[in-house]
Amino acid sequence: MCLAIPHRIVAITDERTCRARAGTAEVLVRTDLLSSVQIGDSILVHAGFAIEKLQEEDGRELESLWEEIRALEATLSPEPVSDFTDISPGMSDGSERMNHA
Amino acid sequence: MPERTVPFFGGLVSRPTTLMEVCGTHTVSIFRNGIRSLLPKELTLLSGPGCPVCVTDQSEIDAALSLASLSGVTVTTFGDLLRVPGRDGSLLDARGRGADVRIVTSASQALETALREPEQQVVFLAPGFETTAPSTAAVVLEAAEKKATNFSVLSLHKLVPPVLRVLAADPELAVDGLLLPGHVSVILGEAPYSFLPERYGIACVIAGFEAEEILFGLTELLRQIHTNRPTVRSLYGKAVRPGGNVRARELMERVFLPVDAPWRGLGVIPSSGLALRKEFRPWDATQRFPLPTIPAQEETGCRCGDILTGKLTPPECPLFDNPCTPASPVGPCMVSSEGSCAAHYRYALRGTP
Amino acid sequence: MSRLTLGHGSGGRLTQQLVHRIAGCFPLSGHDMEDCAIAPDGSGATMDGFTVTPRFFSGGNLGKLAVCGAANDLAVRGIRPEQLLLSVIAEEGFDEEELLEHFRSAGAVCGALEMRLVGGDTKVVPRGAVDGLFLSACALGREEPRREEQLGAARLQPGDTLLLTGPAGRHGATIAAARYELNVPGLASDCAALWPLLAPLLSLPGLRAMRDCTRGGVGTVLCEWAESRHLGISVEERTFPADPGVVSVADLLGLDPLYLACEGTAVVAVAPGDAAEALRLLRSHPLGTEAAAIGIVTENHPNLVSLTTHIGGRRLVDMPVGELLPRIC
Repeated sequence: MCLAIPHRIVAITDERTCRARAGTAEVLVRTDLLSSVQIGDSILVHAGFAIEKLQEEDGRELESLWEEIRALEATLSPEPVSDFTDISPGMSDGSERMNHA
Repeated sequence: MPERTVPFFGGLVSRPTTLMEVCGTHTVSIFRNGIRSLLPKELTLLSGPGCPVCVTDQSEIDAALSLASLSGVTVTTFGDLLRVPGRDGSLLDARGRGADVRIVTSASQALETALREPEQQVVFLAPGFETTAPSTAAVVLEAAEKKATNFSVLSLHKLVPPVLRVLAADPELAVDGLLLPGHVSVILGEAPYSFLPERYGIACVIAGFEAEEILFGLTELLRQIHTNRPTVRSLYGKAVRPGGNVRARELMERVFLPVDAPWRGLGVIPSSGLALRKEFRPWDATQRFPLPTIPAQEETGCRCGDILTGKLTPPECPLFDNPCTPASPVGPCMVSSEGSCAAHYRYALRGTP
Repeated sequence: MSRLTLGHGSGGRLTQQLVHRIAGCFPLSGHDMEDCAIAPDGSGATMDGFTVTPRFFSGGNLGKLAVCGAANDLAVRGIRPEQLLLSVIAEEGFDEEELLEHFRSAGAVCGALEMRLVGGDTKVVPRGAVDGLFLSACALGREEPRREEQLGAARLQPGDTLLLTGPAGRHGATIAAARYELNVPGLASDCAALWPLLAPLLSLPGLRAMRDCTRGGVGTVLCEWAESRHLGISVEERTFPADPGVVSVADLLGLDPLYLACEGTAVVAVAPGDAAEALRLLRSHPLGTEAAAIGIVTENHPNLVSLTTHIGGRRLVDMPVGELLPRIC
């Protein structure tokens, strides 16, 4: 529900404000909700406030989950699983399904 | 994000399965990326009550409209709230009639407006879930510190776990898995959702918002359902700490108190809203201004509650298309441009099923 | 009695409906009601009103916007803009130097187009009666070359290729950035006169229709075309030229670049046989270096615009309802 965009801090303005970049845009961001920030931090910003520092994801955990899913799928479908083009229905199919949602 | 080396969903959907995304930003991303068109037929994806702006109740908008009609009052709020209708039109309509309604993109801009224009009474209409409420809290504290006597807040904040509790307790709700709101979870962490798998057997995933992250999240839900081991799993570890953002929650708790709150289309949900605590009364718009006692929302006949939970399809709602349309919406499913009813309306209008 | 909202002026569905109600007041009105009227002798006229906040923005100002906007409405119909009438409504107290600044910018565009100012009107109204300065521009010109069948949506055929002359949404994103206090280095309005870019296409026999995407953006133009011809349009997201500044602003404010206004970017429909040449001609002009083929006209899904997303999903592109508002959700 809440739009939040990653930014990178380029300057600390005062004890509760920093300048941060999202893409090519530079904006003032409030840092009240974080205990400490420094230049170079990657932050997640919602409605002008940093709500969390972003950290490197632990790729191994996701990768192992991925392996698990892959292994599970292999036990389910002996034939190669369908790809996007096969399961991508036409416009009317897609819209029909949206109607049910 | 691991590289997509196998198709999502593969053979994981072996029986009709219903998943729900509980977050308006997921809804938007699912729509913008055309994700529904990629889902296998047996998989139904419902849009839950996850847009905090869209669930702002008619009675709350009526209160905002009565504030906007006072002379000397400037009403500030986020852009998406302007279209949400009250009984007597929306804030956009009020602006058209001459009310001073201004869009801000942050609560702090609302306070800045007050500090810049001391002769105006500036009210910040504060919608939003746990993601947004801490920022309002920070600004209330700042207003108190700066003794800004011309600034106040009308809290429309809502809380996510209570509404999930209501949904999950509904015996007719047939949802197998929930894509949990990623940015609410940044604040709350994972713990508040544990009752969902434990008590109701509902699979739960906290996911990011890129198309690939959503597809990965849906796949993980299907895995949990398939193996019959529901749990709360976060795939959004780059932003969500297991314990959430403690500092943000402390700020929120310092300024606000949980209260019963009305949700558009869902009715009053116990302890699902936030009111300013007594000590912050000077900045509470409900204390500063003589707001009429807002009657509970009139019976509109809106069936959004049933549509959100998948019990009805949009055309089965008696209000669909007359009088409820995207240009004059009644319930949250039509208020949100990506809501189920608004999406359905667009197709119906354009002469396709 | 219902009242007008800003949504009625934002170029999407509400505007379309209001225009139909207005036309209904007239016993005689044109059946196509396009932005530009073409007489049987090949002369064309268009008229457009302009207001923008802020009046100065990266890439232009109100004066430049007015002339480019009016001239572009002619250019996309294959009409060389030759003459200009300008009507000024200024608020009492308006700075004369600023007024002249707008006209110097307008004059520079006219000079480059060899377009002559031939008339106009000037009103000053009491303070508060308008917000600063409103300009209305009427542009006149002549079809060049003369054609038996006018360019326009009526000529669209299934199989036609759709070209976009540049990244979508640069004007809208620039204005939104200014209004919501985002500093976006490198982002500028695309505000420009399109005649020099589009004129070389006019000799292509397969050229069907062109539209400058103003309010409502590229998405609205595509919807209007699909609806007016009862044909489908399919576009492919990954083929769209993108401007990093537009993407940043759209991400931050929760807006869709497809609906952000352009003021110097056009959609061009051309028979498939001429598409490669049209693209080459566009790309050889400085305004069209990023031009790209973005989709096709199709008999499938009549009246609907379908977009294939970067992950291979498909979705509908609909006209925006009402004013574009930044969102937190």
